[in-house]
Amino acid sequence: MIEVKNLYKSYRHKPVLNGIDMFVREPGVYAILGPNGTGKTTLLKIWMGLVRPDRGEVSIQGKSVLNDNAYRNQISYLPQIARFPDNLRVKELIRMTEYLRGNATRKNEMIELLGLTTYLSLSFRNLSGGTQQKVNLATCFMYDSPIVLLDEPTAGLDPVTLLRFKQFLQQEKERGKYIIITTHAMGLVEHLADQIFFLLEGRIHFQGTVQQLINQKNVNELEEAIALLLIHNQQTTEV
Amino acid sequence: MKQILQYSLLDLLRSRWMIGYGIMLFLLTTSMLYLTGDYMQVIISLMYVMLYLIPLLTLVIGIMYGYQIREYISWILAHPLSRKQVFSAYYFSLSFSLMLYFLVGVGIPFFIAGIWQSSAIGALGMLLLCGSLLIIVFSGISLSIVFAFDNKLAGLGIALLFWFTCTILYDAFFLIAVIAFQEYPLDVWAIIATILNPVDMSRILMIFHVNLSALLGYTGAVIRQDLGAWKGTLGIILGYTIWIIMPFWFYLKLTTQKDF
Repeated sequence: MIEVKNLYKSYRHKPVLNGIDMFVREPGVYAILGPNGTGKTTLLKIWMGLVRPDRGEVSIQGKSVLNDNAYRNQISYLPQIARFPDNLRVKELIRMTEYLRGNATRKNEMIELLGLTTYLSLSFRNLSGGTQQKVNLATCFMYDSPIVLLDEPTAGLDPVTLLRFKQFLQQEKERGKYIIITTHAMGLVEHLADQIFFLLEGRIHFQGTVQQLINQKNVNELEEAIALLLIHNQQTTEV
Repeated sequence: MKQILQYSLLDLLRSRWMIGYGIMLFLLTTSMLYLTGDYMQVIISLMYVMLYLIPLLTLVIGIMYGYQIREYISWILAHPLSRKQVFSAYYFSLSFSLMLYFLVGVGIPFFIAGIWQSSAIGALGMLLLCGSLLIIVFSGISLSIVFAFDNKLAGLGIALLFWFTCTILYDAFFLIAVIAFQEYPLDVWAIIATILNPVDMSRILMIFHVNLSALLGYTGAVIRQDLGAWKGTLGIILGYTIWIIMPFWFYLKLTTQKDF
């Protein structure tokens, strides 16, 4: 379904992705983890055509995504930092999204789930960061796309919305979607992820299930296992 | 492209900066008309406003709007749209909305004052045309600067430097060149220098068609003497075509290759 082959990317001669190979063949939740600056967001952006790779190939359903844009109809993408035109109202942005992508089948459902009804007539300049993130989630999930790419989806969400979002994501998983998520929220990963890709210095350092990582590091929690992975890497680098 | 154009126009036309820009031009024109009562005198005064202030305001508003677009452009580009269409739409909506506020802010007071009965209407038309051309040129330049410089302050600094070069340094450089090379023929250089500066092109185009030879300056006088007013106008139109196409082409090239 989604394939990444030998992907390289550097920014101003600083390598960010150093030969990534990834395959996502079965539906499920795939978590891309790693410390800040390891290329998680860059990887998602290359999938979306926002960043051009220096080398390598990215394909969805066997078709290369480079130099194409029609494939984005099959993807719901949530960018990490959502900013919208200051002078547009929420309902206008939703209408604009529908103009750009066609009618959204789950528009009202998402507005209700995220509690956005009272904000529809407000301009973005009058909205808090958390509410803007909710609009971001609404415009992402109002389309019932088979592939979902989420870049730090839980940032800025209040506990109630976070709980609803987790339940919603669980339902989406059960409906057979391909969900790829980058996050620092380990609770979400432990709860939902079928597979982990742990990125370090632009390479995939670990690939497997949450339980495999916990067993490998002989600890009780995912957070601990990840910390051990990082410490081990630091010690290897120093030596 | 239509969809982006429609929503970016909505965003821009509602922007407080744009509304302030329109109101400022409206009040300035109205107060000048009220104080002098002479259409031609007001048009000549507004010519200087158009030559100095319009490029500056277009650059500043374009830079601010451009950096605002940059904050949410990745959200737009994640939709199934071609980059060329998205960025062309932003360019057209910026130049169109600035032009609309300029035409309304300057034009309406003249029509309220009854200019259609006067012979000065041609001069007003030329003022509005030259101002609109400057808006198109400087909109392209401002958006090119925005996507060439990631740092907002650096972008604003480059834009101000460009404006300062076109409006103030240009005259100083030209004066120095005339004094230093007074023994050589400078006619060809004068024509080249004019085409290199969109502000000077607007000044000459305006003065050619308003019959104010005293305001032509050295470059204008050379163009009129060597090429004649209409040939000079054609040369200036050619110059404008280059000035409109080049920044737009550079902006599209930059944005289609950039990482967002």
